[in-house]
Amino acid sequence: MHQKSWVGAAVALLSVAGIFGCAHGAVAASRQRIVSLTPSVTEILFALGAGDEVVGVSQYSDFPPEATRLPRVGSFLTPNLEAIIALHPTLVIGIGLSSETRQIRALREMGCSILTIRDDSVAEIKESIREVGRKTDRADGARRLLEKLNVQISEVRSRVSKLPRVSVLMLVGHEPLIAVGPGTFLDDLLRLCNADNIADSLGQQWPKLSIEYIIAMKPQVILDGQMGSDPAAPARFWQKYPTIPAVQNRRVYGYSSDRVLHAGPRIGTSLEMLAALIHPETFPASTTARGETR
Amino acid sequence: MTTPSANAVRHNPIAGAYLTTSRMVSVLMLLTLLLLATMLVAAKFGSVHISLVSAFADASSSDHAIFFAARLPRLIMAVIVGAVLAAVGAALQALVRNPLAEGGILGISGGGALGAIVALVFLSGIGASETTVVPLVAFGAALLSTVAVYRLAEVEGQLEPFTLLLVGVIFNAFWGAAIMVVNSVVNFYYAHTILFWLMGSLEAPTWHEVVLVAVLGFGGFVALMFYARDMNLLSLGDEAAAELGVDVDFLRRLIFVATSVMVGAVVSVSGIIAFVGLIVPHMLRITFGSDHRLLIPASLIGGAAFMVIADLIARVAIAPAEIPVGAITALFGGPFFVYMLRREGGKPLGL
Repeated sequence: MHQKSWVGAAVALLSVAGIFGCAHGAVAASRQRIVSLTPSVTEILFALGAGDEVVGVSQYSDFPPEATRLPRVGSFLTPNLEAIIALHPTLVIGIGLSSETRQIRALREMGCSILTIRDDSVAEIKESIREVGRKTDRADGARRLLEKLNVQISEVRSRVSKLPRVSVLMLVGHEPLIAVGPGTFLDDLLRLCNADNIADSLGQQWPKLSIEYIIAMKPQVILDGQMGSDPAAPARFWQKYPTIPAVQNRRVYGYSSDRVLHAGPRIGTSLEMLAALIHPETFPASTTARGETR
Repeated sequence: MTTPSANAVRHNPIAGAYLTTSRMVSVLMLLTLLLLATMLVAAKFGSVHISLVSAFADASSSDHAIFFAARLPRLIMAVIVGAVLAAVGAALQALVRNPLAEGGILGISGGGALGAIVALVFLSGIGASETTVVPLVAFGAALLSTVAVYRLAEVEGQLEPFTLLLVGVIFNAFWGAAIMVVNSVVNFYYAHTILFWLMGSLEAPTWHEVVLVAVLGFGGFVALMFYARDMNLLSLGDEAAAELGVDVDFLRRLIFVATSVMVGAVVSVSGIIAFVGLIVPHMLRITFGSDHRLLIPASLIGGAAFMVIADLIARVAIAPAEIPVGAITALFGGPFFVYMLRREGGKPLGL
């Protein structure tokens, strides 16, 4: 019977399934086929000049514009296994969390080459850029990128180091109120801006805050990721709490979260932008940085 | 509830006179053909277009890789999960003598899911292998939940089916609440994982998991089949069944342990997939009668076909993104169940 032979063939081939899902690196030593699982990895690859070796990107990879024309392989936490295999990748790059998904575990079991980078601090992001540079034969590009990043960081540090510390709340979401907590690169960036993150004592990377806690902590500046998309809603939201110094002094700023949250090569400019919002007295003419936030 | 014995006698003569071997074989053959047809369709379609001919003919093609490494394990997992959930539903409905019984409503799936989530969130740091520890804790929790429900539903040593269902519903809600508490203390990555468990998903199973669920599921199925005739007698009521030689207490325990292990295994890899255990046995009971010697294997095959179709929809509807398959089964299952219930004039569907 037709069905029987089909099942028989399937069973016979099961034993060898799983070893050919990914093209092997050695086959294409000169030219890789890279799949990026997060927007930040996509940005790193393009910044290193490896963009022409990228064959697939995650759903929300929107920078640089060239990346948006590439095939999508699902989102950060739900990559699409079939779509990835279809691209014959020689290398799949994700960040820590995305690599824990069942899909990536399956790819790894198939013998796929998977690079997992980390991005929970500025130091980790730098190391990740170096690692991606090594893995894609672009160590020089990585070095140049890091030099530029270091210049941006030391520039900001030298300008803010003498200034009084400012207590800051940085939010990434409103319902619930999710803040930037310790152990994230954004917390690192705030520290580099000479700011005290009011969520630092909470011990969670992305703590959910109650509004009562925020009122009690009296942040001087609130950086609200949702204002980037809809300025009206958060403004209405904060009006209700006029005792918060940041609200009193009109120091609730929006930032465009999809851009700032990418832990890639643009964290230097994110740092400059945050510093300008937190210490406007030192960066009076930073119109470019400000312009991006509104 | 109407008196179960009156219904049972009418639909379900003790000797099972309606059930001849040839009827059984023809029904099961028909369902098997249906299952094979759905499997062929599901093998052909997915988030990526592939040619089945080149998948089989050319081992170096990406069609081959996609089919064997991604689509086939998932398809087989859908078959096993659907089969197990539907067979478990049929058995639990016999046990509780209530058409609403299934792994989800009796709190078994919820207990298993909470166990899996707690293991994943709090034990992952100790380097324990996710594919071993998580399923083990899921069975353990499913079994504990079942034992607790069973004990609490006993009144003076007698199991009261209606109380059992109520206790199960309470446990189901309680486990859901406990999962929400865990959800609010973990970081966003785990919050996503928890959603995966709550809504059910068949994404990227490993062969290791496929084999694990197949072995435990099939073991439980054999145990249920062995006592299918006793389950028929149970529908006459505890006393009548006991008079006819059924060790009612033993049968109950056996069904509970077998279904807990089966549901625990499924939940540990696919999360809570609701309604399959409810709808499939009902559809088959209405169509082919309520003799458990036929109903349980028919549910096994029918459940597999149902799940294959549901997962196909989950995979292709918004490709390359996916809908959790539990959402599909519930979206189709809920209205369908209400329709079946109304069609029967609100009576407990032929039980």
